[in-house]
Amino acid sequence: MKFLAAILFWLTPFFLQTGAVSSPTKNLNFLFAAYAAVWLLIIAYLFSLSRRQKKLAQEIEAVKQMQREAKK
Amino acid sequence: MPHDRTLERWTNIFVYATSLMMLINLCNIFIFVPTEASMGIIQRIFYFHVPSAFIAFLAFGVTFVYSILFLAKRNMWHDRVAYCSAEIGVIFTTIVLVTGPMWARPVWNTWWTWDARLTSTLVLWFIYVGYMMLRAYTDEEQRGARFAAVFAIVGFVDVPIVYLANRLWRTLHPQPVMMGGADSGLHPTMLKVFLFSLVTFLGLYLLLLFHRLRLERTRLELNEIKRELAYSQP
Repeated sequence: MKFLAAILFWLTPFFLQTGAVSSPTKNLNFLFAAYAAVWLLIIAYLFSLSRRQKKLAQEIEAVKQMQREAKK
Repeated sequence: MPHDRTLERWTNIFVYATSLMMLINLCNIFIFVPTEASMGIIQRIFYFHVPSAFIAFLAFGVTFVYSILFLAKRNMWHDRVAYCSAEIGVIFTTIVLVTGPMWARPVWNTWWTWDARLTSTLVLWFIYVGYMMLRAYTDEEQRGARFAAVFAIVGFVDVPIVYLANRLWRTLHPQPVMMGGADSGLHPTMLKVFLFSLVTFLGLYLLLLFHRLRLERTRLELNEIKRELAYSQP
């Protein structure tokens, strides 16, 4: 929760900024936010894949254990 | 097993190669590419925004082809490939929908406008989110796969609409910079960086698809063990 609040606090000036382009580096924060969003999305998806894989592996192990016990 | 070890080794090589390409891509975009004259530095979003859109089209194209294959042959693996590709397509469409407004805000002075290109892209995102919800809420696997395949085939109609939107209608979204007629075209360095970015995103798509399919294989393995266990119960 604190982490989310920090992100929101950090992003506030970015959301309030007006849009005129006056210098080539003026919109660097928009560029940074866009690239950060892309990387966060990709990392979150990879993390979700690895979490699901781990969960399935645990489930397989549990079912195999049940199978072994049933054979005894 | 030696086969599994070889596969694992090639997978690792592919992961390292794609990561390296992503890094080189970032260097290209932030260091080597020239800054666009009218929009300034914000135009560099182009090198992630447009390749993401192309890869989303490719992902939905794969879903379309594999959905047709599934309906023709009733092979569940075709359905799995269609589903996995649609999921990754949604991720790339989300990237397009997130980076677009961040580019639009400083250039158009608005985050969003309901023009044909933007609206059809949002509709595309909703179509494939709907496709995934349909998969999640259908109990019977075969029936769910059949419904989803029909949904994916019909939903794919929106892909050419998104692609042609700024050619067919007047939009706030810029006219195509490539293959858009006599006035279109990119600076040679920009074109090289764009093409490199496109290849990098293609590598990322293939990598994500490979991992997602591996997850599906594990799920099928689990279902098989559960079935065996159910049959072995007295």
